[in-house]
Amino acid sequence: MSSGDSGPSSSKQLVQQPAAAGRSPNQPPLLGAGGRKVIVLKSGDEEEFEVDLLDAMQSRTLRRAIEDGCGDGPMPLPNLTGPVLAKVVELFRRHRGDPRWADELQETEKEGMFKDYAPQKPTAEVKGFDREFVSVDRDALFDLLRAANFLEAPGLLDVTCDAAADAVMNMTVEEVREYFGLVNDYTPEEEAALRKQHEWAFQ
Amino acid sequence: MEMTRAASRAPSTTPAGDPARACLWTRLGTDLTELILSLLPLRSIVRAGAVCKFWRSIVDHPAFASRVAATAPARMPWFFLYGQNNVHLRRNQAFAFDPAAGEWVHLPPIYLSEGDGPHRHPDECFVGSGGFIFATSAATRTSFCYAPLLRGGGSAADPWRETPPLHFSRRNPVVGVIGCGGPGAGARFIVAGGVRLVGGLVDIEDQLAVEIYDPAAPGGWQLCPPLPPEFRGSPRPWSGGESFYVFGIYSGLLARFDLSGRAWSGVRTLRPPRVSFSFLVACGEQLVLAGLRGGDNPPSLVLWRVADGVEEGWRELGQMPEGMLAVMFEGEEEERFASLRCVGVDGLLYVFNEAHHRGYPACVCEVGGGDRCNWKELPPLPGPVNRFHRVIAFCSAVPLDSVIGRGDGDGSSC
Repeated sequence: MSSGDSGPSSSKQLVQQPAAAGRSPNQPPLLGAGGRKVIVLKSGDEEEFEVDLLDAMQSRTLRRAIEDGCGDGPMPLPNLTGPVLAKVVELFRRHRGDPRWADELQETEKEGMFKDYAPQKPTAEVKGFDREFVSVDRDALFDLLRAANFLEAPGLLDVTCDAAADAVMNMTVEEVREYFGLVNDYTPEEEAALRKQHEWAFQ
Repeated sequence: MEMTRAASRAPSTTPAGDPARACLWTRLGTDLTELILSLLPLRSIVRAGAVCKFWRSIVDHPAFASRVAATAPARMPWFFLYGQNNVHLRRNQAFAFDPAAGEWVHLPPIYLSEGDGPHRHPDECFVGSGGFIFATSAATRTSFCYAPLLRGGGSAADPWRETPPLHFSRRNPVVGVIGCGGPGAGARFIVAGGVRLVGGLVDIEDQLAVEIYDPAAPGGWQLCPPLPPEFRGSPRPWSGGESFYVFGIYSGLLARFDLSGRAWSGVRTLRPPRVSFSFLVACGEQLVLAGLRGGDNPPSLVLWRVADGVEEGWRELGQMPEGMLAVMFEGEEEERFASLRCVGVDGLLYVFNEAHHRGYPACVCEVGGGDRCNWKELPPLPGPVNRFHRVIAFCSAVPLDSVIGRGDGDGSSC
């Protein structure tokens, strides 16, 4: 949650970099420190984040945009807030080489762009990070779920959906409705019939 | 527990919480909802169907069942334990363990002859395999019935289907499902062995009969070549797997039935040294033998991988941790292991004590690739647990579409 605070300061550094690069539309995506390719993502509340190009490719949505040549200037993501985007960017960085999505990336590889991106098994450290990543309240988890869905990022989707499923798993029907803010549209008779039909599941 | 909680609350038909939150879920969208629900264990999916009509429409959809079926946890076989009391049928209890959720559920006991009156025949036999439960009832004549697992009991609409009569009526046969892993295309039932009763006496001549039934096709049972004669008089054959195997737990005799050729083959004896009795379990394409090996002090439960088609071919995989076996079978005398049973399919092997001893304790072993054996104790049965005269236990995956969806309880077409 609090990693969103670091977003603005890191974005200040990178604002200078594209200026220094003096790029034209035909040039490859801009280079960050150490010569890595980076792009800039801009949240709905105008926070900017520098992301390693290869990390951003974990999102199919971003990948399509980059391949369409939209990766030159800051890429606006109006439906993500700064704090959410900060978390997402951090997860992309930690999931670098994660086989959960890297296989797919290999298939679409062009010109050996991802050759240093060999899939790795998720380490205990990554798994620990994932657990910590979703140790948030319900509203924050839903924000992340929506972000994962919009970005079409398999790794992010796995982590957040698993967390949502874990939360629901042992809830009663009433608790599930409460958690998701759902309205019961069954008549009492209909609901009783359903419960009776699968009595074993409702004990 | 949940029912009392529901009763103590105000009716939950009013919108929950503030309006802003009420639309949170719809903003997650159908795709995301479906994805999250597909990650739930079976029991939670069934409950999700009672949350609201929109969720029910998701979990009832055939595409959702296919999506769930493609996940590894959905293929993990459950362990079913039906406790039968021969005198007080009210004391019958049934339980199932879902390995994906790591929890037991209470199942309604099965009373087949409910329509015939309050006095049910205690001689009903049933067994589960391949997503179905099968029952033979011998009250007046032998009938053969089947129902999708988890639907075959309780107060739900009668899900049982009766097949045309068997050519050779018999009790307690080996029953298997071949052709697919559950209620689905091409599933066929195979019945082998069992005891034929003629005027109340056991007919030893027809114990070897084998018949096949296709629930999706019209017509009755088809006779197949009988069991190899070596199986005559062999106590309690055992079956399992994609192919249909018959195995004598004491004799160690193994035979395989080939569905396409309709023939028995590969009759051989699997008896590693000093094994007093053993069970055969299909783990993927391979067979695993679990046997009690005496001579060790104390005796140990050993697993072997059975090499296919090779005479005397087996290789030790490992054994149940000594402490785990000691907890399940307390005491010193060797007879205490007489109540040890194993059931398993698809890489999971359940070991349990069918005698009433500390509430029918059970363990599970996951036999993975690279010959890894991962042993775990199951949690105790959800108590209180009655004392049973007979325990019927089996192991089968539970496909979602056999539990919910379609609602016809047939499960024979997909």
